[in-house]
Formats: sequence, C-alpha cells, structure tokens
Amino acid sequence: MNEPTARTTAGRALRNGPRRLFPPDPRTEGSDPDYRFSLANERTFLAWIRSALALAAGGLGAVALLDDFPGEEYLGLALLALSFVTAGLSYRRWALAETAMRLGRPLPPSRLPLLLAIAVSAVAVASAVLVALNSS
Amino acid sequence: MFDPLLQQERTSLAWERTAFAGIVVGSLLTRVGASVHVLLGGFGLLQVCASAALLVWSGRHYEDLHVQLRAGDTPTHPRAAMVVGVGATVATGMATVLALVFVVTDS
Repeated sequence: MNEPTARTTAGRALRNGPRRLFPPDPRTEGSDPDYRFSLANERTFLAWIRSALALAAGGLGAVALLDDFPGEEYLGLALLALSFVTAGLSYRRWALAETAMRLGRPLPPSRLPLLLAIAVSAVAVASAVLVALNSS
Repeated sequence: MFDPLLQQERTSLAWERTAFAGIVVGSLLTRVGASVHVLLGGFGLLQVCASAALLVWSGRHYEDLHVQLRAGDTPTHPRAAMVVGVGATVATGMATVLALVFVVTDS
C-alpha cells in the first residue's frame, strides 16, 4: 500500500484549494428550503462582503490618507490582508450554509468571526498606542 | 399575504448597500493606484464601474425575484454569489498589492 508523500499531499491541496474555496452549486444537493432561509443566508453573505470592503476601505485610508504618525502603513496593510481573507472565505461560507439547509443538517461552524474580532481589536489597540506615542 | 416579513426587500437593500460599499472602496483604490501610476488608477475605476453595474442589477433582480417567489421558485442565485465573492476577493487582493507598492515607493 502506498503511503501519501509530502509532495502528493501538497499537490492534492493545490488541486483541491479552489474547490474548497469555491464549492459547487448547492442546488445540486437536497431540496429547496423555505425561501426566507435562503434570503437570510444571502444577506449574511453580503454582510461578510461588506465587512471585507469596510476593512479594505480602512486599510486604503490608513495607507493613503494618514501621514501623521509612523507605522500607519503597516496597520493599513494588516487591515487589507484581513479584508482579502474575509472576502476569500465568504462564498465558501454561503455555499456550505446553503447546502446544509438543503440537506436539513446543522449549519457549519466557523472560526472566522472570532479570528476577525481578535485581529481587528489588535489593530485598533496598536493604532491607539501609535496615536498616543505620536501625541506625547 | 406575500412575503409578510419583507425578506425580499431587505435582501435587495443588502445587495444595494454592498454595491455602495464597492463604489466607495473603488474610489479609494483609484486614488491609491493613481498615486503610484496613473494607469493603475484604472483598477479602482473598473471596480467603481463593476459596483455600479451590481447596483443596477440588484434593482432589476428585486423585480425579477418578486415574480420568482410568487411562482414558488427558490431565490438561490449561486452565480451572483460567486461573481460577487470572486470580485470582492480580486478587488481586496488588488488593493493589498497596490497599497504595498504605494508603501514601498513612498518610503
């Protein structure tokens, strides 16, 4: 029996990456749920997209508009990286939730809200420290 | 009574708010891109145009969905979700790269 090597595992991850980020059309499985559930799922997806865009706006604003204190460009880049991750995972969240609804299964849990909360709090604290240092 | 909780209208407004947010970020991206090179401002302009198109689409979709829901069809629209999901990923990725270039060239 052949054991999977590191190379085949990496190759499989590369091949499956886009499929994991962009799962297939949920309508291929299960049956249509109550239309209100599908619309609620769609609004949640759009809220994630807007969160990503708000982070991008904050990041671009910090990089381009704030010139008063050192380090603002790193905070801006951190917010932009967070926005990229949030936007990249939002379709997957929508598709997995829609599939779960169609199959009558519990909605899949996600670590993204916790990750986002911790990361944005860290950026907020870091920017407050930078403002305080710059003002003294 | 059809759609007593106004789910469809709230969803339509969520699409429109998302398009507004896309226009705002596109405008900022135009500014950052153009400050690196005038042609790079085109990425932001492209995002503004795409978001404006999304705004028009969401208005039309609201009307189409009314008919669809009355007929008992599912409102699930994977293609729209895929386009917006991929579009937002590309836009935020591009914003990250342009901001990085801006920081490097500015320092």
